Amino acid sequence: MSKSLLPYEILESARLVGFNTDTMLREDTPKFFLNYNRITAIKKTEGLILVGKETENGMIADFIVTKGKKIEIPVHLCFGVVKEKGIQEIIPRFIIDDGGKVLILAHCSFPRAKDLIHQMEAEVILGKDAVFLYEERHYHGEEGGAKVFPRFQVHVGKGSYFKSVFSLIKGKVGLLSIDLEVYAQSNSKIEILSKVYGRCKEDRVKIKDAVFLEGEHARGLVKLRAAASRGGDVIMKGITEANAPYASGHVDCREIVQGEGSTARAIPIVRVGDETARVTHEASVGRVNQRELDTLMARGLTEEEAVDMIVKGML
Amino acid sequence: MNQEEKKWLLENKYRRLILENIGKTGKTEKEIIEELEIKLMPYLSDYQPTARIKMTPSSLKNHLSLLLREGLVEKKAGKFYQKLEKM
Repeated sequence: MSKSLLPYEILESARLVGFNTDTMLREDTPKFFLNYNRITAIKKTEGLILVGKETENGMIADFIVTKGKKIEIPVHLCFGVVKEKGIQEIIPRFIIDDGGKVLILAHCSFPRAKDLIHQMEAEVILGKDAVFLYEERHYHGEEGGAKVFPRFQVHVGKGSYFKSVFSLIKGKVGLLSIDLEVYAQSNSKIEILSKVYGRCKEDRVKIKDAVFLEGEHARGLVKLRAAASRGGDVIMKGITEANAPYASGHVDCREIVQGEGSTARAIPIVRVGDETARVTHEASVGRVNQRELDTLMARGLTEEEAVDMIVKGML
Repeated sequence: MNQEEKKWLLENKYRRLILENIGKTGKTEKEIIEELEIKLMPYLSDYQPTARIKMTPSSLKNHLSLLLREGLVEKKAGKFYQKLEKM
């Protein structure tokens, strides 16, 4: 399969955030690639329906795992824009039907963003006893000019497992506002992990990850990890609300703040609407460990390099 | 409790759906359970998914108790009615 499926900068950024681009591009890898508003690759496999329609500034798409099908090979999605300015809007719908299973590796890349908006309105449903593992890694370039607004609404059926990992730890962030809501039915399990590094005064990060436990014995874990340095601003809100008997959840927020003008805020919110349910939380915000900083600087790193290394270690 | 303090109540989509469902005509718990169903149909594909999500009776009971307590619904003769036009 030709590498022209995606521009060089987008492939490079996929490599930078840790994806294996050789695997991404292999002909037999299930995939869906979007370059601004052009769908450049779709590769389906048995039990996996991928359909997209290009729109003026993005696309609408269905990602469906049919009933009882377990997709054994990870599915690669890539949504990129190499323009400096503009708006990309994508509207995906993920349906993991009863008994279905899939791992999706998604890459969002805006390597030249100077005044670029990316909006996503995603809806997700998992039927009964389904598994949906979703990992999304972003790269917003080095200019700090991306404005990224992803919204997810996820409904998780009985006995299903939903895991989401979001990371943006390379390059600058720009403006990022994530809104994720997950509704969990009986005996389902939810794990959410978000990791973001705001490294300059242009970086403004706002994340809301909310889990609503709506079925008996539903379980949820929200983990938020963030760092703000050199004037960056990060606010992370982790919500877990338990409304059913014996539902249980935990919210864990950890943030590092370093440098003048940097701010980090962690807001864990726990609500319980059933006397047999239980939700716990923990939160901490602090500067990097001075001893670790001294040790790295004694080995020849500048303070900036040492802070970056410690933060990346945490993230 | 002022409007700002009540905002969190409607952060949960299930509570918004309950309020929409009962409307002004009023519904019993059983009717709400039967009528409220979450499903997603594909935008483009012809595939007909079987995935459906129903609210559990215990969760519905907890939501209704909360909405009653906060004055967003009222109960008359076993039926729940929406009390406010909107928040």
